[in-house]
Amino acid sequence: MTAVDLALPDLSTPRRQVLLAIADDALISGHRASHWTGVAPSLEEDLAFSTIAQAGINHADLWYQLVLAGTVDDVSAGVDALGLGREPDAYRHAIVCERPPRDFAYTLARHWVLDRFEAVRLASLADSTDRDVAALSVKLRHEHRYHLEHAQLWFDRLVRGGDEPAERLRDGLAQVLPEALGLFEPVEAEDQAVADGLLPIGHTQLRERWLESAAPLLEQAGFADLVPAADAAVPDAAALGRRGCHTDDFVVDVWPEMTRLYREHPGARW
Amino acid sequence: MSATSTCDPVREEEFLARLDEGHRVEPYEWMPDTYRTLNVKFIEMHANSEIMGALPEREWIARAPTLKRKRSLAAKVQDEVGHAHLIYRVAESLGRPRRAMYEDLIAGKGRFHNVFHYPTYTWGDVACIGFLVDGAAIVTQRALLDTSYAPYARVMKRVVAEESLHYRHGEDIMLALASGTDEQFEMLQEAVNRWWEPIMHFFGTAVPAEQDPMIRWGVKGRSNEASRQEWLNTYVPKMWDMGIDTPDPKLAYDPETGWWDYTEPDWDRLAQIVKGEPTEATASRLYWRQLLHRHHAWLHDIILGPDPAAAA
Repeated sequence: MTAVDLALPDLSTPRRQVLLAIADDALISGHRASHWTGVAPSLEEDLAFSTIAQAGINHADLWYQLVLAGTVDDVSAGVDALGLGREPDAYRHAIVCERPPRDFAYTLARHWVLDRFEAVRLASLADSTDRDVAALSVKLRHEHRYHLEHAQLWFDRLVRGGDEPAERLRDGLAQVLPEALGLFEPVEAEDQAVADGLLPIGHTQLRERWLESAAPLLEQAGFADLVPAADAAVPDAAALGRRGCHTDDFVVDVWPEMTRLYREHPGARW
Repeated sequence: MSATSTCDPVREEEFLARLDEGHRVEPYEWMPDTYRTLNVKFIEMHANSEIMGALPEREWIARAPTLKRKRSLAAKVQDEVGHAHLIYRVAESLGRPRRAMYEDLIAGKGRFHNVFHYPTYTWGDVACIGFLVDGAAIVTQRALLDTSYAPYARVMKRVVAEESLHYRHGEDIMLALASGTDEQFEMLQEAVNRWWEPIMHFFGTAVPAEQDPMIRWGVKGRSNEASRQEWLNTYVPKMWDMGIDTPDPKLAYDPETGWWDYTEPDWDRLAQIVKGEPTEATASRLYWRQLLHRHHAWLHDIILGPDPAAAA
């Protein structure tokens, strides 16, 4: 249901499917990060997660603009139609992004895992043959560096913070890491996007790069047993987000709240 | 610091005389107990209000009707928390630990402004909080640029600068609703009707300046009524320009006195809101806050260092 008289382009092309996956990961994890605004365990982290939320929403906006690329006159209406006007099964984010924030240890574990993933994806997209995609990736990598630093700072703080914090981080990682494998599932017709050079390294191969970056840090921290095996399967509960299958955490929780006001007033300006 | 050193009537008179001359007090200077206590009370309530003010608006980040609004609302609420962060530091410089203030607030023992005790129902409430309630806060905060406690005055400079961006944010949301569909306009009008009395309450009773200890001790520079009049003078014409009805039939500008006449709000209701049992909205916001706080007890020492009370 697109709420406005707005002809969105055909979203099923490999290019748009790839870009939607990137944008939707950012939007939904940003939406979840905004949960902490006003209620985080410290004022400093309140500020940090509000920044992370804004970056997610903003990055989604920028990627949606590339999805639209010249196909609609009113770009901001087009962006909202993509961000807030699609049915749940049209979203392409990985299921790990839609999980609720749970406690702060889970949030920090996910933040760490997602940011290391985003770092390898952005690094590869910087070599995209699509110049707009390459340019945006280069730009976002600069900003993204601070997220990585923040995530690593907290990872280290919890690891060295005594038994309980380290144990809670371990529990968080134990929940996140298997589900994070859903990040590396390919979108529909991704092979074509890889062949075109739009996506220089497919999601499946990004998994190896991510493991190379994350595994040594997990091992040093005493979490070697949590490192996913190279051939580990995505758990059923976290699979097929890239193909539009989502859990109640999205379909019943995030999506209705996030899109209701937009959908209730078709064509309204806000 | 001995008790006698802060209760010295002669020094106190000298101190007040210097305040009257416009002297600004630094944390390392001698100050009377009354001055310290009044400032802590006022500044702590200000910081608490920034935190509690973040909660009604945060409820709408998840529901914002466009990505642009979602982002700007998140940024705006973040600013409010940032103000609390700065302002708690000021109270700390007067000897009240941040951890104690924060824990009192979460336990429901901290005081904060009346306007943050109310529920939100629609995006119209977001417009009213962003424009009218924040507008009221801007009026009173601008008056604090001349406050006598120097660290507070310095922090208020930055807070007021950010608030002027919030003013644009609120005005933009309000104008979009006022010029939107009939449903959007109605959403806005209903919210204005809801917020009118809380805003009139916000400035407090018309206690004469000479009877207000906060003014005598240089915390506030201006009377409650002067602030209320400035708000009416700024915001009522703007609302009328947008076609919004102000819900007080008696409201009128008197060109002779240069003041606005209005219906006296129900002051008992204000007392009930700020001093009585918490409203349902406050109880529920505090409940969640307490729950989240308790669930993260394992983190507090990492964040804040060991609790000085427990260590002592």
